[in-house]
Amino acid sequence: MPLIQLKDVHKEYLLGENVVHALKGVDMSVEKGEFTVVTGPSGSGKSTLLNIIGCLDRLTRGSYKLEDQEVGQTDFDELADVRNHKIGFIFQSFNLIPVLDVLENVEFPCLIRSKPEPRKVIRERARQVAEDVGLGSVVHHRPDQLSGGQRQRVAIARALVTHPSLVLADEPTANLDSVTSNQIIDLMLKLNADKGVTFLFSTHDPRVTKHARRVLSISDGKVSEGANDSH
Amino acid sequence: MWTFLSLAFRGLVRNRGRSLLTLLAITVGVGVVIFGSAFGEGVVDTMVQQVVNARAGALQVHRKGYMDSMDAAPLKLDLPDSGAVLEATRSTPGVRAVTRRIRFGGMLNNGTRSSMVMGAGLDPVEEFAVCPDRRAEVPETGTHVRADADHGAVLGGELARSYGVKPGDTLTVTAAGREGAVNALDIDVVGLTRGAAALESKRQLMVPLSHAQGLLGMPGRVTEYVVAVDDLRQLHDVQARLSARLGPEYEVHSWEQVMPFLYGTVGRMRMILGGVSLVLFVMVVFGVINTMLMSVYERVREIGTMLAVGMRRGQVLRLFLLEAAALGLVGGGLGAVLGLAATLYYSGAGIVISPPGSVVQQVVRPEASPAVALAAVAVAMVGALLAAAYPAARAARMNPVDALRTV
Repeated sequence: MPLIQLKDVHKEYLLGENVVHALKGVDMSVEKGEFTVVTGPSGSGKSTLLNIIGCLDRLTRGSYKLEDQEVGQTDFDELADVRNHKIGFIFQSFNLIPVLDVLENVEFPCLIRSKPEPRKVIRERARQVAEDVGLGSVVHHRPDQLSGGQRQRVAIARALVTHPSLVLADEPTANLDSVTSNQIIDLMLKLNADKGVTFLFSTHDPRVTKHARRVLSISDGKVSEGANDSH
Repeated sequence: MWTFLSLAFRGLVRNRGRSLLTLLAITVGVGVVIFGSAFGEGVVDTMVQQVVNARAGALQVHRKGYMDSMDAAPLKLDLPDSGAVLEATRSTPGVRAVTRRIRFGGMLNNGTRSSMVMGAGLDPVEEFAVCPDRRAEVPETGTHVRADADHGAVLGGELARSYGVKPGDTLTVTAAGREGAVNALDIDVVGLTRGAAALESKRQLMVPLSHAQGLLGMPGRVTEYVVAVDDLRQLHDVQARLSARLGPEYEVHSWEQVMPFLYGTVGRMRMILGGVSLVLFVMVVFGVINTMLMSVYERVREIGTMLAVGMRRGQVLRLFLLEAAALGLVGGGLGAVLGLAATLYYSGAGIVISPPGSVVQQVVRPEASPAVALAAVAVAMVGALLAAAYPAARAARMNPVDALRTV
């Protein structure tokens, strides 16, 4: 059973008076443990695809199954629960909550659950994940006291703390220098290899694409299996 | 819950300047409402005391129909100045003291000019027992009506000045008696009132009761009993009791009925205070709306992130409402402390005011009311929540995709 399975997924939205067909019948699936990259030019529908896979947006028609559960037309609060329990997000701009320190940012998704685990358990797990991504010495720093690389590590830790089925990373290295980018890519590769975390990237960065085990190309709202020349 | 409280608190602390300004607006608003209300009640109390203790007493007993034709000073609707009705009035539970008066209209003459006066014949001993503040009507240069000065009269200050008389001078008062016969008697001016109200100062004449009875040909008769009660809060109970005891031939009026204009003034004053409170409330609400809207606009991306990691719309709503409630609670609490402290200070020190139409200054003592303070804090909290409802709903309705895209 694939982790995610999209069948004939369409996404249309209104831009002024015009209907934009962002996705035009996408068929794709991702297996558990994959390290997949979606590439494509700007405006090709990459972000729309990731938003739908990330349950941030609903599809217009078609079918989207996450762990065999149909989620394409689920209501907002149920989608929130799906995101919270099954999906981790890593954003291009890190998107940390500025008033919370590293540990608090990491544990945040666990704390907002309707039935959260005991605080102590959450804190311990957040500390462990923070250490796993190399943030052990800065757990009480606020985001504005961290470098770009450290901030992205916090975002990775936050994405992992709920033990999600899938981690979505939208241009995760776009705001980082090359050395830091490599470190972040290495970290995600390690997490993929050691812990079996499934990653799905959207990126233009050839350094990310180079390491991907599978590359999907999106063009004009359609997805095709791409070749990864580096493998 | 702790997570949301902590987040709400940090949300407020993030922009200290703006939060402090909003807090200050709530604090000042609540403080002013509490103190203003206490001051207003103090003014009302002073006015009521002024009326009850210096003029009208708490209750007045008349012959039935007297009040309806009072402008004509109907002397035929009179009462005995002693006997069963007076004793029944005095012995009614809740009655502290009773004084007898005759009210009449007359003309004041000095041989060259005459003018209309509103006269009152009163028994000084009884009068001061019922209206103790009457003593202050007459300044040190003269005396009030005295039991030992049969012809001694007190004139309104303006009236005396218009005649150019002072204590020791003599004038003549002319009045139509109960049977219509006109009579004239000399009076010796013993004192001038300071004139609490302009009309009184120009028209007032007070003489000993026996002198008025002689002038009007009404020996043993008066037009009203003026009653002091033990506790003003029990006024209407005593009124009902007395009314039942005296029967349908007599009417018992409270000071509100005797002086409806003043009672109306008290009502209008409370309305104005209510209006000021409402304006302050609206200002505070708009302040909170502004703060919360700014807070939401500044945090669109952050709200998008929270939604992305699984926060529900209801939780976003709760977060912003908590921030507003915290502002309302802290601001309201500080305002209550400030308002009560100012009230307590001035209830001791007193505030000197000159009521409109009066030349006499009065000391107002604001009355602290914990119930008003609690209500003001509750209203501040509810107001802050109402004010935050729209910004919070706006935050909760955000589409995470659009919110995350915001720069």
